[in-house]
Formats: sequence, C-alpha cells, structure tokens
Amino acid sequence: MKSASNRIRIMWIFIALSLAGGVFLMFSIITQGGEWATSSRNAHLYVNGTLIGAGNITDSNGEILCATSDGKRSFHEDGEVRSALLHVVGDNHGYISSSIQNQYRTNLSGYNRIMGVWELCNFEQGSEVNLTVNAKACRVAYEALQGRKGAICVYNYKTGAVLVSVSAPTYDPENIPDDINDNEAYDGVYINRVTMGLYPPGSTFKVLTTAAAIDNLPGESDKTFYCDGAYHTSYGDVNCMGEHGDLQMKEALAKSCNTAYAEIANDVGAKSLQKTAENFGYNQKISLGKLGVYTSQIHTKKDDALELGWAGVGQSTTLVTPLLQVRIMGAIAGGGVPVEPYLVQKVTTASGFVKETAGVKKGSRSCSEETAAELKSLLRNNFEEQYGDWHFNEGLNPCGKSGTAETDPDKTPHAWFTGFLDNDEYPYAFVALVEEGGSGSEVALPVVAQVVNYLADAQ
Amino acid sequence: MVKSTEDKALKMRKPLKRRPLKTVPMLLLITAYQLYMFSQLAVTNIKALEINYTMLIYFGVFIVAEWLYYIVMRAFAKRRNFEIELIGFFLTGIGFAAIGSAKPDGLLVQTGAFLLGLIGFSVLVWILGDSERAMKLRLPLGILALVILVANIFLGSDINGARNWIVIGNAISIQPSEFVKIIFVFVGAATLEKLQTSKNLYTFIGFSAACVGVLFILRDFGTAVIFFLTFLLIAFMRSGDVRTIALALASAGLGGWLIAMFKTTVKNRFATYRHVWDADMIDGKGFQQTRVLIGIASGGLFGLGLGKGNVRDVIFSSTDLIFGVVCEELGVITGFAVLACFMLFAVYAINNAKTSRSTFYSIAATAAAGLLLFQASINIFGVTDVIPFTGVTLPFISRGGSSMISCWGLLAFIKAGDSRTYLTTYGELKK
Repeated sequence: MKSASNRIRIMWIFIALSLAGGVFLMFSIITQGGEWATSSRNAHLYVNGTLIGAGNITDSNGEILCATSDGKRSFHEDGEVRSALLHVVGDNHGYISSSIQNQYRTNLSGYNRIMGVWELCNFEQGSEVNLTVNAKACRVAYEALQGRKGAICVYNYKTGAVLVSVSAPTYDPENIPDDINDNEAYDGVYINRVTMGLYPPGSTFKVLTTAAAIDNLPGESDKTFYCDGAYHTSYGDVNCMGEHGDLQMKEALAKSCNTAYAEIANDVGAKSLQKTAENFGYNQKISLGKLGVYTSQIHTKKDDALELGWAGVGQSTTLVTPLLQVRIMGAIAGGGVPVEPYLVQKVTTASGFVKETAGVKKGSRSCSEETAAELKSLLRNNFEEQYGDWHFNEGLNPCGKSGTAETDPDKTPHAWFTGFLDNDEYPYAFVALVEEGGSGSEVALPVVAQVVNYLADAQ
Repeated sequence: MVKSTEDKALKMRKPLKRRPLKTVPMLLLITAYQLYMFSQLAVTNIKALEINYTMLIYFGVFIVAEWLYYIVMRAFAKRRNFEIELIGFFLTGIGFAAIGSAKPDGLLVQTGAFLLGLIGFSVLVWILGDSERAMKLRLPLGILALVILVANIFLGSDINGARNWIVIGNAISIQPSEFVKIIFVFVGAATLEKLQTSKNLYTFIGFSAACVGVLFILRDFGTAVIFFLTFLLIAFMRSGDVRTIALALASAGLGGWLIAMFKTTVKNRFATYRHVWDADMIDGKGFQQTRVLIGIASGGLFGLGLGKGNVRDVIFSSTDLIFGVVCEELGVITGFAVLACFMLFAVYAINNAKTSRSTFYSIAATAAAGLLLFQASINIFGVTDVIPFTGVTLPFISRGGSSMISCWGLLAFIKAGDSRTYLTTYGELKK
C-alpha cells in the first residue's frame, strides 16, 4: 500500500511535463506572437492580402507618408516625396524589406502583446508610427541627386533623429515602372544605400587616419611630409592627385594629400589604425531601430606598406555605409561620443496611448574629447582653407571632408562628402554619396549643402 | 520511540484536516464570471435590448443546475467540500461560452449532457462509497466495455475519418469510446487492487490491449494514445518486482504496436509538426494550427470578446480547436487557467492519495486525473504545434455530449479519492 502511494508521485512528472509545455507555449507567444498576429492569414488584419487597418506613417511635421483609406494603402500625395522616401517608408509588396512599413508592421497593425489586436477591432485603426524624417527636405535631397545613383543622410547629432535619408535609384511606389527589373538605371533599386550600401570611403577616411595619429603619435601633427606625387614603397606607389611638396598634417588633410596620409598610416601602424576605425564603428554592428544596417569593414595588413598606405587614404579593402559616415561625424561633433541615429520618433496607438518614444541613446566612446576637439578644428580648417564656407548659409560653421573613392580604373570615382555643422542651433551631421560622381568637393558637397541649407531655412 | 510511531500511524489514518475552500463565495465568483461571459452572447444588442432567449435558457439551466447541485449535496449528503466540482463548473462554463460563440446549435446537447454528467457523477460517487459494491461491478463493467467497443466496430459510423460513433435513429449519435474511458480507469484500478496475482495482471494487460486494438480498428489514434498513457500510469503505480518486468514488456510491446498500427498517421503528423508555417503547410496540413496560433496572438491577454474571433469560423472550432476560440475570445489568461485546472486535478489526486481508504481509490483518482491531464495536454499542445497535432477534444470544454458525460464520470474517481467525501457516512460503512 505504501509503495503504491509512493509510486503515485509519478504523476508529478506528468504535471511537470504539462507545465513545461505551458511555459514553452507562453514563451512562443511572447517571442513569436507578433509574427503570428501579423501573418497575412490573419483575417482581423488582412482582407484579400491587403492590410486593412494599418496605422499611418507620418513625418516630423505630421505629414502623412502612408495611410489606409477604404481598405487601400496609399502613400504621400507628392510623387517626388514618395520616391524620395521609398526606402524608408517601404512599399505595398514587400520588395523594400528593410523599411518601416515592413519592419514595424506589428506596430502598424495595432497588435500588442497585452491586448492582441483588440485596438484594431475596436477602433478599426492600427498604431501611428511617427518618423523623424522631414519629407520636404528628403524631396530636396532626391532632386539634388538629379537622377544619379547615391545616398544622402542628415541626422541631428545631439538627439540622434535622422532628418534626411534618401537612396537613389528609387521609384514611385504608386507607379512602379515596367522596366524596373531590366533597366540598368534601376540597378539595386530595392536596396537602401544609406544603410546597406557599402563603398570604399576614399579620402573621407583620412579623418580616421588623423584620429589614429593624434591618439598614438603625439609629434605627428608637427611632422613635415614631402609629396612628389606619390608615396613610394618597395611594393609600389600610393599615388597622389597632386604634387604638394613640403606640408604638414593640417594642410595635408585640407589638400587631401595621399602621399602624406599613406606615410601617416605607416607611422601609425596597421593595428592602431584598425583599432581607431573600430572605435568609430567599423566592424561593429550599428543599428537604426529595427531596420537592417550592414556592417562597415576594415582589415588592415601588417607588413605591407603599400596596402597600409592605401588603407590610410581609404582605398584598399575598406568599405563603409553612408550611415556610419554620419555617425562618425556625429561622434566628432559630440565630443567623441556618438548619439545613435534613429528613425522612429514615437508610436501611438489608435486610442492615443503613446507606446514608444525615442530618446537620446549614446553609443560607446569613439575617441577622447581632446581628439574630437582637434579633429573638429581640422575639419573646420578644411572649409576655411579649401572648400569655402560660401556653400552653406552664413554662420552655419561647416566642418567636413570630401572623398573621391576609386573602384574601377575605367569608371568615374564615387564622390563623397561628409561633415557636420558646428552650430548649437543646427546640430546636423551629414553625408552625401554620388556614385560615379567624380570629385567629392565639386559634386557631393554642393548636393549635401543644398539639403542642409534647406533644413536650416525651414527651421 | 514507540509513541512516535503510534502517532505516525494515527496520523496516517486520520483524514487530512484541510480547511475546505469557502464554497459559496467561490461559486458566486464563478457564477459572476459565467454571467459576464454568457451575457456577451445572450444579449445580442445591448441598446435595443435584443436577447437571444434560447441561449438564455441553456445558460440559465446551467447556472441553476450548479447551485441546485450545491444545495442538495450540502443539505442532504452533508458534503462540506466542493473543490473538484467547482473546477468542473468553471471549465464547463468556459466550454458553454466558447461553444455559444463557435457553434450555438450545439448548446442543447451540451446542456443535456451536462445534466446527465452531473447526475452520473453523483451516482458514481455514491457507488464508489462502498468498495465492496464497487468491486462486484468490476467484471460486468469490463465485459460491458469490450462489448461496447466491439459493437462500435460493427455499428459504428464514420464521422470525420474515425468510426468512433454509433448513430441511433437519426437524432442521437454517441461516442462509445468516451464511456469506455470511465470503465478503463475503474477496471484498471480494481483489477490491480486486491489480489496481486499475475492472473489479474495479465487480465488487465489483455483488457488494455483489447481496448487499444479496437480503437485502432476504429481509427481513433488520439484516444488510443490516451488509453496507452493511462495504462502506463496505472501499470507503474501497481507494479512490483516480477510484475515490473511483465508490465515493462507489455508497455513496450503495446507502444510499439501502437506506432506500427498508426504508422502513416504518425508519419503524417510528424511531417507537419513544427512546419505549420511553411508555405506548403500554412493553408494545408498546418491550417488548423496556424489559425489557432493567429487567434491566440490576436486575442492578447484578455481576449477580443465572445463572438468576435475568427478561429470560430475554422472547421472543428467547437471541438478540436476550442482552445483557440477560448484564447482568442476570452484571452490567453483564460486559456492558461484552463490548463492549470487540469494540473490542479492531478495535484488533488496525489495529495488525497495519502489519506485514501485503499489503493483502489488513490489509483483510480490518479488514473482519472492523469487521463484528463493527458487528453487536455495532447489537445492544447497539439493545436498550438508544441507537439504533433492529434485530433482529440479538450475535456469539459469541447462540444460533445458523450465526452461531457465521460469527463464528469472521471471526476467521480477524483472525488471518491478524497476521503472527506464520505466523512459523514464513514461510521455506517464497514471497512
């Protein structure tokens, strides 16, 4: 009798198994519930494959970028704005997978873990996703590219709010071109070049080579370099665009002298150069909310003066996204600590409850405050000595660096310009990339200046 | 030393002194919850005061029956504790609400079956009050079970792929295997009770094999699995040395046989398992599971309200998929409360085993609780793709008259395993 009542305890095992099943189910609901609820098979959300009650997507001025009416999802009234913001807002077919429409569809659908789709059923409207971008400024940026492929991004380095994010080529999601899949002009049209375009940084990388020199070699800024048109190594030459003669680091940066910078890179050494670049975000995962961001790459080689020389001037195998470029500028402008960029300002449910709000989120320190200050003065000097403040509205105090990135000897190089305004009222960091645009200062700078000026005027 | 062992012995025999749950407040609470649920269905338009009177009658009968049962048992049988019945009422009420949403036509049968189930429960508890009386029923009931099952083979009608139905006339269809569950637990516990001879043991093994075999012929895989698991449970609880070996072999053989017999079924289940969201499954073999999962996520913690879900429009929503309806319309919290109730039955059975009058009672109670827990788990975790999907119903909640009666019948074993049930008549019974 006693043994039997002891054996009854086997029931505890079955109870435990049931409990384990329950815990597993609960865990699945918590982690995958959003996916299940937003499945296209959910008749609460979809009728004939169209999201019926998805909430609005709005810009920083409250302009409606995407809304649902009569069971149809439509975009901004202006076709240019639609094209400019395609990669941020997304489309109705899921081609632009890394977009707000796609990645935030759980929010848009009105689903939340506590209430399920109750809000949607009772208000017939999902949550509103309010973005940080300025639709009109994005349109200005899109037009400034004049049909060329490229990317433009502007963000507030104090708050992290991304004001402009435009990628070209693009298309109007309400009038999808017929030849989109065979016309060369639409190569990579589904890619958001701001977050997923990887390009050689070219001379813009000299900013990081400078940072590495300041941090590791105290005397480097006083060293005199001699440029005869190339930096000579036993493996070959790192060519320079000019013959600059005798010059020091400050002037070398303003004139973008490859000879001096190839030498600085070799003085700094492969390890330190890579370390500095990694501190600024290379080889690190950086994020933009739920949108995917490709990781920028740098792999310097020891014992190869030529490759290291090229790496010092941003060629070699180094690749960077435009988003990391503005983040680097943000770090310098912000005293060595970058503020992480974000696109979603807030999410408000149909009943008016604010579910999510963005806040300032600082990244890990990229460089010391002193280094940041010195870099800032050097980048400011570039404008004073080289590019000229006249590109920008008066008093904006631009700082920056151009770049001309070679990819293929037969092709025109990519034009880069990256910088920021040393200005409390307009704390903008910016980048423009024009694919096969040519000279950075001649092509990319006017493009990005136009956008930044518009933003300053509009405010 | 001597004194302490005496104390211990005394303690062992003394019925557990646990304060019974205050029944009236609990029943009031459960009734309030049921009124909240039922009003969502019966009042179709609150402004125009449109009321579905047919539904109102079913719900009314249900609630009145609950209270009547309590009053009668309190006044005449002098019962003090009603925990088991309260959980039963809670579950049945949720079932009524979910069926009222998914298939209102089914409420008539459900109401009738509930009344029959409650009566059957009371009668069975009375029968079990005298173990000698109960033991006499062992053989006839065992034979009856086999007769029912065999009759099922010849008289059965195919409904939804399984032939586990007997249709009488045109109106009444019953599912005999449901009633066999009660007999199975009874015979299982009774056969192994007194005479621990190998003859009894082999009788039980033979009986189990016959039951599972018939269920195979009837193509009722889910119920066969439940019988097998219950067999394992009973076998384990009563096994000793030689018998352990015999039972282990029998279990392995029976299990192997079960899998071999249902080979294609098992294979099909496993092909879908954890792949329900695949493009070729989502609208095919994974249709039911994905719709249940979508419903669960859509309902959130508190549900969308009765009659507002989509799972109810899916085929078998009032039977196999009722858990999805419960979660979507009454909330995930309610869904997990349902699962917890079945665990609670099992915990009850284990705790009461210490003070049960004999091992027959403790084994029967544990086996009944185990059977209910197995069936509930197989249903809940099957429709949510935690384990392979098997078409079994959720006890007390799924639509089905036979099942409702059988569930209340099984509860009687748990009730009988609680020594407090017969406290008042203890003196009259000769043990």
